[in-house]
This record gives sequence, structure tokens and C-alpha cells, in this order.
Amino acid sequence: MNEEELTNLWKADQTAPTIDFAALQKSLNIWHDKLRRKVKIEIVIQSAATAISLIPALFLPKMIFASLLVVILGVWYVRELRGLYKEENTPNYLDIKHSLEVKILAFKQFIRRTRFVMYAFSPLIIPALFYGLNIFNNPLITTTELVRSLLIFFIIYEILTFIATEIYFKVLYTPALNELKNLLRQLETDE
Amino acid sequence: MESEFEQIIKKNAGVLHKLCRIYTYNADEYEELFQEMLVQIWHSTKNFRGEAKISTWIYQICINTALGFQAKIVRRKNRFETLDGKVFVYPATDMEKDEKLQKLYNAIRELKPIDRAIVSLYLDENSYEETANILGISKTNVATRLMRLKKQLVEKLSAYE
Repeated sequence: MNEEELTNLWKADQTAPTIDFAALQKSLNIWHDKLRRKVKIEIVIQSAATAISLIPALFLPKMIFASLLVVILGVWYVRELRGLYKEENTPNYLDIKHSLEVKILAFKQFIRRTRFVMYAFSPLIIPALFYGLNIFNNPLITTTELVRSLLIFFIIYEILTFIATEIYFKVLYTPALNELKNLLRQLETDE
Repeated sequence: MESEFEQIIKKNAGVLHKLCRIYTYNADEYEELFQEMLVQIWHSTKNFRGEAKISTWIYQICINTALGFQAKIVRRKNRFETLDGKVFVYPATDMEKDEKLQKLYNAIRELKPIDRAIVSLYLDENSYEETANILGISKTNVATRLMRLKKQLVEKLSAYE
């Protein structure tokens, strides 16, 4: 088979699915409604989670900082995730190379920001909990003991957070990111 | 009166069909990708400002969607947001019986994802310049790759015979 035959064969395939446009429009509207509903559900869940996170502060007013930190982390994460999906969605009308680059950048930024927040910002929960549980003002605990326990809790927290975050990336995001990088490499090489 | 979206889809349904065939391996995947392409075109219609040719724009959306499908991004993202109901009927036509065409699709499916896009653009008679614009690479790169891909494709098809 030569090149001309290839082209003719390809062109000869005039098949295309028969589309029911009325059903399609209806389905697209339902799909759009579902997305909007999902956003509303997210807002409800987030509000409920905020309320639950603030409950300890009602009984122990000093827990307010720890509760607020949990709320801030929750709100930040949902917004970040929504931003990532939006980024994945929008560049489809760009040329393929540009679109792949935008998607890869969105993934990398999401992973970098999440790592920073999880490893550098979220450990503040430890001193916030110490403060909430009145450990800083406990006369039975010496400064040395306090520093030592803070350090131990920090280390344990960092190790557990590191393991959980990296497993989360490995399972959910790294395979897709690697595949995108692989596609970009395929596009850039002429080998 | 037909909407702009309907006109675009009617005119380009063949392109969607062929791209779905070369990026999927069974009817379920085909249906999923075809629906996703429809959603993406519908979603992007408001962003189309007429700066590019409609066909270029359609190829960009469809190839990007197919590559996202390949990277399993589409499936992860839309796990809970697939279209409800049957919106199209896949025709069981002579094409299924056409052994040569089946072999051509099989041979293209054996290529790397990016190469499949290049081959389909070539077979749809897009110029090197159009292909380069759609992919975002140079014309020289397109020409070099196509020379290799055409040879590969002919060899694969000869091996089937």
C-alpha cells in the first residue's frame, strides 16, 4: 500500500455517529447543572466543616486559633483544587504544545503550593493546639520539656504529613503529570 | 434554527469520529471520548473569536481532549460528570466490514499518541503549516516526522498483509 492509497482509504471513511441534538442539548444542560450543583454542595460541605471545626472553640475558647487554621486549610484546598480543574479545562483550544505546557505548569504549581502549605504552614497546628490545650501556661511543665515535646510533635507531624501528601500525589497526580510530560517530550522531539 | 454549536458539530462529526477511533480501543471508550469532545467544543464555543480557522480550532480541542483522555485526566476529572442519556448512535456500517480500513486504524493506534495526531492531520490533507499551527511545532519538525511516520505506517500495513 502506498501513501496515496492510505489517504484515499482514510478519506473513504465517511462514517460519523448520528447525533441527536435535542438529547445532546438536554444532556449538556443537565451536565452544566450538575457542575453548578457540585459547587453548591462544596460550599455547603465547606460551611458545615467550618462550623464543626469551630465547635471546640465554643468549649475551649483558646482553641480558636487551631480551629481557624483548619478552616483556612480546608478553604484553601478546595479553592486550589477547583483552580486546577479549571486550568485543565480551559487550555484545550490552544495549540497542542502550548496547551500541554499550561496543563503541566498548573499541575506543578498545584503540587508545589500544596507541598509548601502542608510542610511549612500546616505544622502551625501544633503550637495552636498546645495553646488551645493551655500547655504553654501549665506550671507543671518546664520550658525544656515544652520545647522537647513541641519538637517531637513537629517531627512526628512532619513525617506523617510527608508520607500522606506524597502518597496522595503519587496515586492521584504524578501519573497524569508524567504522562503529560511524556506527551510534550514526544511533541518536541523529531526522532 | 440550528445553533452555531450544532452547525460546527454537524460539519466536523467525521473528524471527531476518526480521532475517537485512533485514540480508543473499545466502544465504551469511544463513547466516553466522543461525549467529552462534544462537551469541550460546547464549553469552548464561547471562547472562539474567529482568529483561527474553525477546522484548526476543532482539531486543537479534539486532539487536546484525546491526549487528556490518554493521560487519564479527562476520566479523573469527569468521573462524576458524564453526560446523561444516549446522545448519539454509532452506526454499524460497511466500515466495520472493511478490513483494509480496520487495518489502517489498527496501524495508527500502534503509534505514539502525538504521532497519531500528526498522521490523522496528514491524512485529512492539512498542510504542513496548518499541522504545525495546530500542534505548536515547526513546519520542519512536521515534515521530518511525517516522512518517518508514513514509512512506518506503510511497513505496518504491509506486515498485516
